[in-house]
Amino acid sequence: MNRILLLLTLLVQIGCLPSFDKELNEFELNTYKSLITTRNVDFILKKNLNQADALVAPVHTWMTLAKFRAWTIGAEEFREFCLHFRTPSKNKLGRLRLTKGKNCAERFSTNVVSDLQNIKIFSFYYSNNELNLKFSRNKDMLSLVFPLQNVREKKSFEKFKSYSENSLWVLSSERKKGSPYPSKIGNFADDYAEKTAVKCHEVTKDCETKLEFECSRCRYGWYEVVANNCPGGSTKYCGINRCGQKGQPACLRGHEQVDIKNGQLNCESGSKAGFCQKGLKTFCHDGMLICL
Amino acid sequence: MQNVTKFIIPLITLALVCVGGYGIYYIMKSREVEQLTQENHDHHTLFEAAKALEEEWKSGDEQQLFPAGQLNCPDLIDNKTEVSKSYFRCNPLFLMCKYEVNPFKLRKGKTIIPIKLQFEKEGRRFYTTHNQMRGGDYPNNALWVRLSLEGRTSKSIEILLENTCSQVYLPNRLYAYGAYYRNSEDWRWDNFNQKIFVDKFLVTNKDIWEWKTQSSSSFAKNVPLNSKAENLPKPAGDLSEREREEYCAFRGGELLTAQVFDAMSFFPMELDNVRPQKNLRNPYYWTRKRKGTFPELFRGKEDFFLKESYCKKIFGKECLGRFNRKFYRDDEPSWMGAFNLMGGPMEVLRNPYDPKRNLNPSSEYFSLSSSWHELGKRAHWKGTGFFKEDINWGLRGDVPGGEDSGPYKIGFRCMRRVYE
Repeated sequence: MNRILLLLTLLVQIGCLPSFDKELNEFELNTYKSLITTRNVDFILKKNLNQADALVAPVHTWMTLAKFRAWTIGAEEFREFCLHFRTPSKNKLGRLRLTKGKNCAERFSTNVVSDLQNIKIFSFYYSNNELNLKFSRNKDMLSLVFPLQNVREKKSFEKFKSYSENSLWVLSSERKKGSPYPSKIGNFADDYAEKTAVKCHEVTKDCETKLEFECSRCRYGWYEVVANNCPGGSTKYCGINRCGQKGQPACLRGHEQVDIKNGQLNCESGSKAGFCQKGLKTFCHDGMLICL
Repeated sequence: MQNVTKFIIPLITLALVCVGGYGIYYIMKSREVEQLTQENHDHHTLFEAAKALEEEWKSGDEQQLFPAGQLNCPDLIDNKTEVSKSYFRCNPLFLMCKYEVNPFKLRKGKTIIPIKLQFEKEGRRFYTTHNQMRGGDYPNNALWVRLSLEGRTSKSIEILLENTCSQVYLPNRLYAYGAYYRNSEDWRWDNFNQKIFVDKFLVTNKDIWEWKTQSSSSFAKNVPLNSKAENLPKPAGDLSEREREEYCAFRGGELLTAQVFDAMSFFPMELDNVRPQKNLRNPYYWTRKRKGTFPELFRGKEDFFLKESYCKKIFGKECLGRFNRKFYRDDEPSWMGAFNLMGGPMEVLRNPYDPKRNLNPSSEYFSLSSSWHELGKRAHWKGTGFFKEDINWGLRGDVPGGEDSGPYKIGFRCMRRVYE
């Protein structure tokens, strides 16, 4: 009888051993490692972001919460991730999933990076470069925080301010064999007058973007030419800025110091929309002002 | 009784086997989870360490180690060369020196976690630099550092620390260019819808040293170097025009233009009115007035009493040897936060409108009574050589006399356009 009692006691104590949640730890680790180098985040389900109300409807439905674009190979390439949530139903609890790949809509079940089941009362928040997932699971209220340090919000600049308060960037530690860097654009000797300058941003007269801005890839900086009066500025070239010199683009005098004719920037000989060095005049060439 | 015993013993044996088996399974699983938990914890710790390092990078010498003489790296930081606090912000030499004596650690409450900083090889330099020359989406002008946990270097994080300390924004306004002369054109320009950042200070020998030692460009490697510790905080005053252009391009920008220099230094009449009908072209960057300022009072008075505060505003010839000289001064800003605009070394600019006016002669080579110590007054530097004959002083400008025929220090600074 004593032995039976002893056996029963042992079994009860085993039942009281602390449980471990391997799935939660794995989810947190794999998600953290994937998202730590996120450069851009796009919240698809904006209306539920930063809302205390749990995400519950429509019932038992996969929804994409956000799309992430993260650096890999240092900061040389990108990898996309999508964060999805399946809302709970009467019979099944909710599920969180991070998948890899560009097209979020098709990615609920393929290329799964991390997965977490048995979720109730789920909400998600983003502020100060931190993504916060709050939910209850197995009777515990949990909050997982993922820093998105590399995301830089669009900002307005002010007097006395530097470019950013945030100096820190997190790199991917992956390496690639072979040529380490994609090419930068341009050489020191590139010269508009010699027709060797490379465009890095092209904007038409009607302010349509013909070539997306990629001037941050210019090896020797970039400069804007005087070709139109669009809000985002005009076409830009890579290279050392030699504006105002003979054969070079005219220098920008300012988006409000313009010479307008028939609603467009005046691209005629002597136009004051741009300026040249003393002794030279502005001329119109290929829709932009140059100095001759 | 015997029948009961027959069943109990095998039952107990079975129970013990099950318990034992479960126990082993539990121990294995809990070790796995322990490892995962530890890995999660390590990642969070390393990220916190990175944030702490960022804070030290931006704040510089908050602990006042330099004034207390506690920095002991005579080849990096000369304790006898006075510099302002700003010099130590976003300064890798300072951090290198600091961590030699007191290695970087993360404080979490009462716990201190040693963190190893390294780049690729062991050694003093714990970083390499990222700049516009490299490919990818990297920000410009940043340190590349790997942080790892002491004793467990397989756990690491790689970060960039961008230099966000040395440039300041030029507000969007309508600006004037050039000094005022009667009957001259009221030359104005604006930077609305543009984002321009300018160097707060002149480029130093330290900056050139970093460029030369870190750039992969063979051009940079041939640039002459002024790397004695006492010279590192001083303005780089002997580069050619091409070298300055290359350096500014390395930083993702261009040589500062005369138009932007005037925008930085002419004190606006009304700060809130960004589109004034007329622009004030006052002669000095710290005031809107001319009358009663010390350069005006100084002119023609031999017994004028020179105060140290005057030399902080314009470090002219009379200031040499009179007061302790501080480099990288940050106590006399212009209206938008730039420094060292007059006095000290001369400053070369790019002037696309008037290339023959590319030099600000206001410097320690001229008396405080010289008319060169006025904004908008310019001479022409031919681009090479640092002697009197390499500069065209114009018909009315003072020319340095006697022993002041050179070589002169001609400093420069960079500017950068941002598109967002």
